[in-house]
This record gives sequence, C-alpha cells and structure tokens, in this order.
Amino acid sequence: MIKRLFKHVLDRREQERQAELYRNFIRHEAKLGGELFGPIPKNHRREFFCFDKHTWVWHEEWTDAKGATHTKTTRYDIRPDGILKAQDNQPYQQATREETINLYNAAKLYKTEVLDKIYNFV
Amino acid sequence: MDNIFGKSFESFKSAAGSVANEMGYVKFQEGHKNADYLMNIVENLGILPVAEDQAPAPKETSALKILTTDIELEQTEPEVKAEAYVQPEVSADELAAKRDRMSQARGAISSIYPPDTTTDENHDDYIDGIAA
Repeated sequence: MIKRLFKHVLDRREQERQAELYRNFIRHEAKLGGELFGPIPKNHRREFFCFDKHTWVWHEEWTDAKGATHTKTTRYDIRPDGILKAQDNQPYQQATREETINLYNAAKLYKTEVLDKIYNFV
Repeated sequence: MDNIFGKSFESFKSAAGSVANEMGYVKFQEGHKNADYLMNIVENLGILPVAEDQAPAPKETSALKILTTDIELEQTEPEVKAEAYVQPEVSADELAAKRDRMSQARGAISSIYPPDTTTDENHDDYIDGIAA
C-alpha cells in the first residue's frame, strides 16, 4: 500500500516536471517566435508560437503613453480548407489572403529560426 | 539565447537533463510536422504568389492549348474537311494497274528478303486495303 502510494507520488511528480518542461519549451519558442517579425518596439512584448497541429498563437502586449497595459491575442485555427482566426475571444473569422500568406512565411521561418535553433542540442 | 524569461536556455537545458533531450526531440519533430501541415494547407489553397524565377515556363500546356484551339477551329468547318477526304473515283483499269505495281514491288522485296509465310496473308489484306 505504502509502496503504491509512493509510486503514485513519484509518477505525479514526474508528470508535473514534464508538463513544466513542456511549458518552458513553449515559452522559449514563443519568445524567439516573436522576434521573427523584426525589432520589437519598446514597451512591447511579442510572442508567436505553435501550440499544436491546429493552433498557432500571436500574442502582443504593450504599455501606452499613459501607462495602461494592452494585450491582443490572436489564435489561428488551421483547418484543412483554410485558416480561421479569433482575436481576444471574438468569434472566428476567415484570415485574409494576405494574412494567410504572412502566416505561411512565419511558419516557414519558425522552422528554421526557432525550432532548429532551440532544439539543436538534441 | 541567454536570459529568456530571466533564465538562460543553457541553464534550463542542463537543469532539465536527459528528459529535456527526449522532450526536445519530440518537440522538434512535432514542431516541424505542425509547420509543414500549415504550409501544405496554405500551398493547397493556391494563393501563394509565384516568384518570377519560379514561374513555370510556357511549355506543352500552352502549346497543347493552341493545338486544341486549332483542332477546334478545324472542326468548325466539317464540310470543308469532309471534302478534302473524298476518295477520288478510280477506274477498274487504274485499280488493276495499281495492284500490278504493288505485286511487282512485293516481288522485288521478296527477292531480297524471304517471304514471311506466317504473316503473308495479313500483308495481303493490308496491301489490298490500300489498293482498294
């Protein structure tokens, strides 16, 4: 009984550790992903990352002249027939042609500039 | 790649140890697959601009299109085309003379090459078909 409890605790810790590690990888990807689009303005925080096969995220956070903080999160939903996007919990809408092409180019760069650099130790 | 989120990536990796290697490998593979998935979908949408140096050179397709157009143009004048293929009337004498010439030609050929007895009948059919 004690052995099983001990194993359960160990397993759970391992899972938590792996989940934390996974989140850290995503954070690193997001940080480097945000740098793909050129210099980040002062008082801005930009992140761009692939969450999973169907989800890419763009997050922008900035402070205006009055010191107020703004955030905008864009979620791209990759579907077999096209790209949908949702901003700040607004309903999904079709990404424009230009935006879709930009996303395509971003994903292309993401492979070489983010994935290949972060995981080159593997 | 230092000081990402206040912690260097190198120290993060070494602290995570071999688990990081395993997961890093999985994330790397997964990330590439996901990016390829997105790219494939966009490519299939057919909206990507084609760079000039990558534009397909005018080739068979356009030539074929021209050919097809020509053929269609010909087909718009079926009567003319039909007239062009009307068989000229051949008299019985002319036909006999033609057969003679063919026969002589066959004789000349068979003097050089031995006759192929297995297909000779077929050859006759073929030649007769032309002569008729």
